[in-house]
Amino acid sequence: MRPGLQAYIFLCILLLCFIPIQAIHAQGSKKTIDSLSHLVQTSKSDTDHIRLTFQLGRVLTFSNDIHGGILYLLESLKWAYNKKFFDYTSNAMIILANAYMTLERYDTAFTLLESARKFAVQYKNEDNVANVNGNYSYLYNMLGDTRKALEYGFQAIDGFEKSSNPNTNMLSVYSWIEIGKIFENEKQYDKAFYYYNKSLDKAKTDTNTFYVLPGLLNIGRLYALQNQPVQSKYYYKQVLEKSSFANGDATYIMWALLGLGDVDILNKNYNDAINHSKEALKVANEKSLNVNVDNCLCSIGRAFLLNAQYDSAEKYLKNALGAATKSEGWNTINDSYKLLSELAEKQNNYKEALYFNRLHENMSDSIYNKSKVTAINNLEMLYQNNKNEKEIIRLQANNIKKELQLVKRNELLWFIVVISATLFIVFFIHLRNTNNKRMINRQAQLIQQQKINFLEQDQKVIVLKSMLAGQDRERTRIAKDLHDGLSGLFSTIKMHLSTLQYENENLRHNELFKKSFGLIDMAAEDLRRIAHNMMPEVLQKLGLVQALKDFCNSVNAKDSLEITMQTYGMEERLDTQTEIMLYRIVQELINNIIKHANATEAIVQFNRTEEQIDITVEDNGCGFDAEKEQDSRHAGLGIIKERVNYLNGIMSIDSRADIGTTIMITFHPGNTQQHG
Amino acid sequence: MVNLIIIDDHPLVIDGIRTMLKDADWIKITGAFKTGNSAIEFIAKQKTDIILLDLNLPDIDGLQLCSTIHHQNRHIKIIGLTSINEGGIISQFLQRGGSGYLLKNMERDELLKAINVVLDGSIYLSKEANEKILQQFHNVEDAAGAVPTLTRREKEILHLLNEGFNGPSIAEKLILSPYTIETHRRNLMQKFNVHNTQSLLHTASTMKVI
Repeated sequence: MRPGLQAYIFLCILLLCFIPIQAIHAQGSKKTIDSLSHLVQTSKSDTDHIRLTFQLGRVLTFSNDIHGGILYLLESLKWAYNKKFFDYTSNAMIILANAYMTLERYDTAFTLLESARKFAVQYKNEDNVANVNGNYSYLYNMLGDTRKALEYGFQAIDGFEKSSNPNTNMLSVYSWIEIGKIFENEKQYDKAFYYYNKSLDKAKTDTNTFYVLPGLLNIGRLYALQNQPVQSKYYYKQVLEKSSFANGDATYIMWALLGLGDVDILNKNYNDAINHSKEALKVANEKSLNVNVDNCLCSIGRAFLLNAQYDSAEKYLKNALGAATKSEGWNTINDSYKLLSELAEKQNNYKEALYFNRLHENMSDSIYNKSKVTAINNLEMLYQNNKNEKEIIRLQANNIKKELQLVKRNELLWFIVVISATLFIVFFIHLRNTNNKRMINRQAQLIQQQKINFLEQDQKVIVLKSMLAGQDRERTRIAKDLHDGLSGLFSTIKMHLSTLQYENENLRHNELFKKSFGLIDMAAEDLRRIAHNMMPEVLQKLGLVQALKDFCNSVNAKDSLEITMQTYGMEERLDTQTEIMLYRIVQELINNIIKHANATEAIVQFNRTEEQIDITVEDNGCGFDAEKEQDSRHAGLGIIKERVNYLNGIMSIDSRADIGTTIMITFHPGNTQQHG
Repeated sequence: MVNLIIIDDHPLVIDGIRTMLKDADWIKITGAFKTGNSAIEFIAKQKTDIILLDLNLPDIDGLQLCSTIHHQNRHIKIIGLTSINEGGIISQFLQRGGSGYLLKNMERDELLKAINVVLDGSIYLSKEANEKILQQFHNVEDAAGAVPTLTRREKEILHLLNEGFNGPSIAEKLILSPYTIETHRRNLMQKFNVHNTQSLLHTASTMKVI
């Protein structure tokens, strides 16, 4: 339960990071709030008023005074709209949507985001469009629509990456986390790890250290989830090292400390766990992270319980229960019930154990049902929403006009109108589509599943591709190391020995010396052969065609196979990665022919036209059944297929018994570089 | 007295060569360089007769450096001294003005012999390099303008085209996709260096392929 809970709450916090980097860094500071309130009251110009109310609303939202924040944001929204500051209009809507999401008012958040997107698109504010996409990604993930969440997540990243505003540009750090989170929820930890690292990579491009914090924290947790305390601890420690309490990284510090507590528990160091959780509590109290106090209390209670200090455990767990009830932290309440039940059992108080366990079970059921029902309702709403997009956009446009007029008079009324308008639309559509609903829903789910499968397949291909590319890079590196290092050493030894022999006549007749002399030669030759197989020098220096000519020449000289090589239109070199891939493909095909085909002649042919390259490798050997056989020739083909896949190419095998085999590979050289 | 410089980024190798040449009093090692650029600077200022050149340098590609030096000072003899033994590289090196090619596992006598041979204006290739060059005479590539070698499919399709079938009907006959047939047809035209089916058939029959 705990890691899941952490994930959930951490998501909320992450989401809040989407726009306001600066705001986080002003988070919770009473001084900031006071001075802003003062400025709002004394502001003279419209611009100042809008800007300041917006800032104040934003800061309040992040200081856990969400309702207060909403009031100021609405005020700011009203002014911005009236004075036609449309950038602020969409900004305010996005932050408002954030606030409503924290309150789990997904429907309102959805409406606001839709409007924010419209304003952003209309006034060409690409940064805000990306921001809306980021928020959509989060929203859809909350509603269990993984596919949409991924889609919007990637769109957001695209948008952020294009942004010239350095702050917005860095926001992709958080979107990568979001995508990692989606995979983590699906228990696909290696993918989650991959995307968290993406976030880290991006973070490292900026001088501000706080960007790396979410990546480090999530990787830390991921390791803990997989029972790898050593790695987990390393990452949590990194969070503490890279964060600054004074600059508002308190939330990260707190979660890292709680994480270290979890690591301690994995290591069974319960005393350390107590201390770490207590430090976390101190941070939460000091920075008034009210929403998180119950988590800390619960963690301390759990550590005490594991350490068999039952009195202290009871005290903290009951405090946690109290704090969680106040802040409506249902998951913490549930955890506390469970832990209290375990505690009572340890103290042989079976009646109380049973009582808390029952509470725990009821709570689990209701949380489960609650989330399930909300998710289903919301999914349905979103589905219908898409279907009737045009109508809804029209209605919403009217709504926004009306809403904004109402805002002038009464913020509360405005709020109610939005909700009821949305509810009305949903109810109306719901009523109209009752009959089709179940069927459509099932179809939608099916389609969604298919698309997830497709995405997974795509993911697999990407992983394979990077693996292949990595393998080749590594080989190039090793070959270079061998050439630069060992090879030089051997040569030098040989040179010294040769000089020694020249200076000292007797050595020429010394058997042991002669033997050593020969052995050095053999070692150097072996080394050269290994380095050559790893990565032929000619491939790097002179390119694919010359390298393949060399290869075929050496085959013709050694083996009974006679290869004819023909190249057309291959005068220009291809990019290095593609050349290496093609070299390996042809080399492997020829090796297959030598090993299995029993052929006397072969043709290697390259045809390059403007848009594509065709490679034909043909032999006059015994042929094989490309469909059925599971022979060793197919094992060789497997790796070739992977390489062809890497090039986004197509391979066709045309094999006839006792006539021979023709393998043809076609690809578009422009298409291969996205992962190279 | 012959002025010789060594270009190799491996300090031990430089050391080894110095040791080998220390008793040859007619050779003066005037410099040893770890990068191509520092050597180019040196050559511009000081008289140099012979260069022992490693092909893998940190700054300039060895083949590139060979042509640069050769174009600037045609009288300088360049001997490739490397651990690469690949036919393509060796012939490129010679084409770019190199006079000799030695592998780093050579003995003292061979090094001195190579220096003498290239100073006399001949080419010196080590035994291994010679073998690789010989392999190249066994060339895998057709000479330009010769009759191209056709693959089985190409022969088949060429004959069917000659019998008057068009792309789609050939595809049907051979149970292949029209796209594949089109690819083969395009490759055939490229191989015979023509631009339409008509001249493809004409050229092929002139060459007695059909």
